[in-house]
Amino acid sequence: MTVLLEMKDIHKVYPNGTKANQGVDLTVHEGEIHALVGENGAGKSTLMKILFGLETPTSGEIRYKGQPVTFQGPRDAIKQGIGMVHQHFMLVPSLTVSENILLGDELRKGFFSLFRDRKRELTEVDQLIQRYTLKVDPQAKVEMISVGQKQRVEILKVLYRGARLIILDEPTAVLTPQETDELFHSMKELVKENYTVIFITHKLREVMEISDRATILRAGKTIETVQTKNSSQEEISKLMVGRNVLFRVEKEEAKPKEPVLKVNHLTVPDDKGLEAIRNVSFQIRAGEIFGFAGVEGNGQTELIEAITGLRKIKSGQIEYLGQDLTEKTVAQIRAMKIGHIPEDRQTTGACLTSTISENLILDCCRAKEYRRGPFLEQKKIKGFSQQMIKDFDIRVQNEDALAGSLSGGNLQKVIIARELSKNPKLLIASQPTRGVDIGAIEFIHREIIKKRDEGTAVLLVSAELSEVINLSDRIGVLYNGEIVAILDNSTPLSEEEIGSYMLGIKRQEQEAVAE
Amino acid sequence: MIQAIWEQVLNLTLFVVLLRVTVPILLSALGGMISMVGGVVNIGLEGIMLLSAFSSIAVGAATGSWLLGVVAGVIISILVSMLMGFFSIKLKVDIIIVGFAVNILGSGLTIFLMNKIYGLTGNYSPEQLNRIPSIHIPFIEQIPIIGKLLSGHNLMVWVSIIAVFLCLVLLYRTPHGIHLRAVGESPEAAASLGISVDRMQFIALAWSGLFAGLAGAYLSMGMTSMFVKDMTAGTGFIALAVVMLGGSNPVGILIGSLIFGLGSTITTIVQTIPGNQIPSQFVQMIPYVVTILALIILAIRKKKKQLELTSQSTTQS
Repeated sequence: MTVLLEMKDIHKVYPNGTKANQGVDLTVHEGEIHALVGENGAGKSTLMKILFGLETPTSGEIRYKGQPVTFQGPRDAIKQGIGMVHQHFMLVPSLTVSENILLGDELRKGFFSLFRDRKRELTEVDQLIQRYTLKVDPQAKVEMISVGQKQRVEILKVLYRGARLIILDEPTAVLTPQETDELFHSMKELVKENYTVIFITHKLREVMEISDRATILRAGKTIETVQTKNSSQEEISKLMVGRNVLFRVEKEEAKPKEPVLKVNHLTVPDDKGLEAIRNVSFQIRAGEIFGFAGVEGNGQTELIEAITGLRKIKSGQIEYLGQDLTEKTVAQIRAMKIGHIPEDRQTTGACLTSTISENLILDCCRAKEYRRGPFLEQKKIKGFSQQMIKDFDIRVQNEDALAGSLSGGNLQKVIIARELSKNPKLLIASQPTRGVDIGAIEFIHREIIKKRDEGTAVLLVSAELSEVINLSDRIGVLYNGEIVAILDNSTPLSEEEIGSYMLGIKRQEQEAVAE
Repeated sequence: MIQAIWEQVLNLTLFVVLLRVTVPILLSALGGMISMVGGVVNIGLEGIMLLSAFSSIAVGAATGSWLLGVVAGVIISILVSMLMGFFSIKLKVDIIIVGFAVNILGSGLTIFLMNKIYGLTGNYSPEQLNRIPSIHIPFIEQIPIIGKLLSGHNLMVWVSIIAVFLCLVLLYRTPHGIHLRAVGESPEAAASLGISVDRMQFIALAWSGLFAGLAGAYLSMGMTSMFVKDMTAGTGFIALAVVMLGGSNPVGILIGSLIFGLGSTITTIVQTIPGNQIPSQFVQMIPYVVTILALIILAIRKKKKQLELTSQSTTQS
C-alpha cells in the first residue's frame, strides 16, 4: 500500500482561542476507505477543512503523494485531486443536475465562447453517470430530487473535477437506510477503481461495515489508527470517548402505575389534508416508556404534533390525566406538565439566536419565580442556568453563549434540561439523540430512564430502531399511519421481529392492538 | 366615456401610449431582476434613473448628440451602482440602506445640479435637443393598422424588447448567467467551486446600472424632452414590484411591466378624455390598485406552487 496523504502534527487555533486541532496525525493509503471518527467537537471537520483548503493550519505539515503541499483555497485542493462532499449540500436548487455538476466549469462554445454548449454538457454528464453507476436524471432540477440523489450529484461534482481522494463529511446523517446501502455500494465501487475515500462519521456500525482503517480523534488529538477488521465497536467507542460505553442501556424493570395518556381512535391530517394518522389508540402509564418504531414518515411526526397541540386533529380523543387535550393551546398543554423534546432541535427545539439561559427559561419565563414585576429576575435565571449546565453536563464557556454556537449534542442537552427540569408527568421525546455523539447519547438515555423511574410516562419516537428497543418497555409499531402492533419489550425484542411489522409484512390482530 | 376609451383602443392610441409608458418600467425592472438574480436587491433604481435622466439630457444638450447623452447616462448609472456595490459588498452596509441613500442622493443631487448649472428650480428643457429618434419603417408605415403597430416607435422601445431577449439568453444560455443564478441562490455552493461571489454581485449591480441608465435616459430624452425634478415619480418602485411579480424570468418581467404600463396608460387616457366625470384622484389610483391586485395574484400562485412542490417531493420519497 502506498501512502497517499500524510498530515503531521496539525495544530489549529481559531482567533477566538478555540483549539480545534492540537497535534493531529493522519495517514491515508491509496485505494482505501479511511474512517475518521470522533465525538462532536473532536476536530474531525476542522482537520478536513484544512485538508480541503478551507482553513489554514496554525502549524503542521501536509504531504500529498509524497510532496509537501499548502492550499490557499478549495481550488488548490481540487487541482491536486482532492474533493469534498460537505455535510450540508452545496447545490443550487433551481439549477438542473448537470448544471450543478458543471457549475464553474461549464463547456463553452460560440462567439467568444460566451455560450454554454448544452449538448456536449449533457453527453459528458451522461457518460459520468454511466461510468460510476450513480443513477440520477441529469436534466432534473435539483430541488425536485431526493436527498440520496442530491448526494450522488455532490459525488459526481467531485468526480467530474478529477478528484482521486474524496472526503465525505458525515454523508449518512441525512440518508435513509436504503440510501446508505446504495452510498456504501458506490464507495466500494470507487475504491475498486483505486479512488481513496475519507469518511467522517460517528456511527460505529458504519465504520465497521465500510472502512478499511479508522483514525480516532478525541479533543483535537489523534488517539489511534486501527485496522477495522482487527478491531471492534467496543474498542473504537472506548477510544473515542475515553472510557467504556454501554451499548445496552442498563435499566430496572418498569413499575407502571395509572394511565397518564389515553389516545382513542385518533385521526390526524397531514399538511395536504390526507390522513397521516388513522384511527390510532394506545395508552401510556406512569413509570413506563412507550416507544414508537416505524420507518420515518409513517405518521410519527403528525402524531406527536397532535398530542402537543401543534397540529389540529380530525377526530378522536387525546386524554391526559382525565383532561381532553384536543382543544387546548400549546401553552396550555405545556403548562400541564407535559415535556416535549422536538425532533428538530434547530427549528422547533431552540431559538438559535438567543443565549443558552434564555433558551432554558423559554418555557417558564412567565412564572413568578423568574420575574420581578414586568422584568426578568436576572440573578435567579443565571443561577438556574448555571445549575442546569452543571447537572446536564452542557459543555459551554458560560450561560450567555448563543444557542446557535453549540454543537448538536450540547444543544440537545439544553433542550433536554429545559424539558426535564419542569418535572413532567408526560415526556414526549422525539428523536432525542439524532445526530448526537455516543457520550451524549448515553447521558440522554440515562436521564430519560431516571425520569421514568420517578414516575413519568414517556412517549419515545426514534428512527434508530436500536434506541427504541433499548429504552422502551412497550413498543408500538406505526405503519402507514396505523398501529400495526403493540409489543411487550420487557425482554428486549430483536430488530428483525419489529422490522417485519415496520415494513408492513406482519400485522397483529386488531383486538390485540386495541388492547 | 367607456366608448371614448374603446375608440382609443380601436385606433391604437392606447397601444402606442402603452408602449411609451412601459419602456422605463420594463428597462428598470430588467435591471432590478438581474441584480435580484445575483442576490442583491437594488432598491436604488429610482435614484439611478434620476441621475441618468439628468446627466443624459445635460450631455445630450451640450454636445447636440442624443447618443452621447445616453452613453453618459448609462456610464453614470453603472458608476453609481458600482458605488453601491462598494458599500454593500465590500463594506457590508445593508443593501436596503445603500439603496435608499442612492434614491435620496438621486433626487437631491439632480435638483442641486439643475440649480447650479442652469439656475433653474423646477424643470430644465433645453431649446435645442436631439431626442432619441423614433424609428419609421418605410413602406410598412403606409399600411393602415400594421403601420401604426410597428412603425414610429421610439428607438428605446425596440431596445427594451431586445433587452428582454438578451436577458433570456444571458441567464439561461451562458455560463455567466448560470454563475449569476448560482451566486444569488446559494452563494456557498458557488464559492465552493471557486466562483467569486463578490465579483459576480458587482457584475449583477453593473447590469442593473446599465438597464436603469437606459430607462433614465429615455425618460428625459425619449418620452419627453426635458428634465423635471423627481420625474421618475415612483417608476423605480413600480419596477421593483414588477421584479417581485415576474420573478427571475425575463418574460415574466415583460408581462408584469405591461400590466403596470396598462394601469398608467388607462390613467393617462381617462384623464385626457374631454368631459370626464370621474374625480381625478380615483383615476390616479388605478396603478396602485393594479399593484395590489398583482401582488394578491402572485401570493396565490406562490402558494399553489409550494403545494405542488411538497406533493411532488412526497410522492418521490
